Formats: sequence, structure tokens, C-alpha cells
Amino acid sequence: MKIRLLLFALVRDSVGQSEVELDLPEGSTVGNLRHRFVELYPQTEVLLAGCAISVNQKYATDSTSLEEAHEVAIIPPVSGG
Amino acid sequence: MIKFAAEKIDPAEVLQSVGSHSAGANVIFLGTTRQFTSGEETVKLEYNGYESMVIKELESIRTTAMSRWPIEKCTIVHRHGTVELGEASVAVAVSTAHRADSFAAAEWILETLKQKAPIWKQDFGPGGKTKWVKGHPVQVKDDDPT
Repeated sequence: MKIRLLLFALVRDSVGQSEVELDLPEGSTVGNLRHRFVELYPQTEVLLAGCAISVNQKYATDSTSLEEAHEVAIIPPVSGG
Repeated sequence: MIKFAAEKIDPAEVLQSVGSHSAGANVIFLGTTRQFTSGEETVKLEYNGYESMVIKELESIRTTAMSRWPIEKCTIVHRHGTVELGEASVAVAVSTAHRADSFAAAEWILETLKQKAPIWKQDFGPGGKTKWVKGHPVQVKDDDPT
């Protein structure tokens, strides 16, 4: 399945794109997505360890299951306020 | 009122938005761009956010706050784009019957926003030097209401 992944701030700068599409096996989880992302963009490995992942604009854990229609984003450490 | 917008924050409008005849206390907090942080100069800040999720998170934070304190009305406004020195990037306003609740709720809302809202700021120094401001890694727990 294809997952649309939105990138922000430091992760966006590191990858050089504001969104990417990942091809993952059916039944993949957020944890699988993290693993695949680091394989494709190894320069983000350290950065990604400090990032959260959201699924449909809600924070998700590594065990959250993914579906093709989901909007997924990598959320680097936040600095609003 | 919940808003994530580029326009300047009008404190009078924010305060008016929480007005209620049931409230005896109206607290407003404004976070503004500071010129010096640990001796380093800031010329301006630039905010970016994951807009649709910012709105959801701010609504969720407000809902949780209203379940924890007897709040009459609550407004949370955050800017995106450039915020010049002295301008407000964030406003939180709360009205309650008595002051202790509005002080406590406004502080909790602001602190939670800083920990959870998917917003990022870049600091522009003299000469155009920029850096992403070190942020808070979001702690995600199962069944977390906010």
C-alpha cells in the first residue's frame, strides 16, 4: 500500500521535500513506517528517534496500524508558543 | 475561539471573546517575540505548523481544560508566518467565576500547547542567520486525551 507522509521543520530540511510517498506491505504499523523511512533516508535516523508520528492528525504509537487512505506525518520536537 | 492564522493578534478582541456575565475573572496571556535569549539576538521569528492538526490539538487542549476547570469561555490563538519583535505569537484567554481557576487553566493550556501543538519556529538573527528553535519531543501515550 502507498502511504502519503508529510514532513515538517528539520525533517523536511533533511529530506529536501515536504512530503514523500512510502510503499509498505498491507498491515504495516507506524513502527514499520519508521523503519522503512530510515532505510530510505538514513540521514534522518538520529532525528527520527526524537520525532512523534501522527495518523489522521492524531498522535499515534508505534503499534498503530496503517491504511492506504491515512494521512501520516512526522512531527519533530515542537516549538510553538 | 480557536485560531491558527497569519494575522496579528488583537488582545482586545481575544479578551472580548471570553466575556461572560457569569465570570468574575478574565485572564489573558500573550507570548511575544523576545530580542535576546541567553545573550543571542533575535530579529524576528517565523512559525510553521501542520495546520489541520494544530486546530485539532488546540480544540482537544481546550476540551480537556474545560473538563478540569469550571471555565466559562476559552480562546487559544497562535500565529504562523513572521512575528516581529514585541509582537504576540500566541494568546490564551480564559474566563471563570473566580481567579484561581482562570490563572491555573491559562497556564496549563499554554504549557500543554508548547508540549503538543505541531508548530515549529525559526529564529532569525542579525545578518539573516537562521536556526530552528530547539523543541520539545512530543510524548505519546495510549489513550491520551490531548
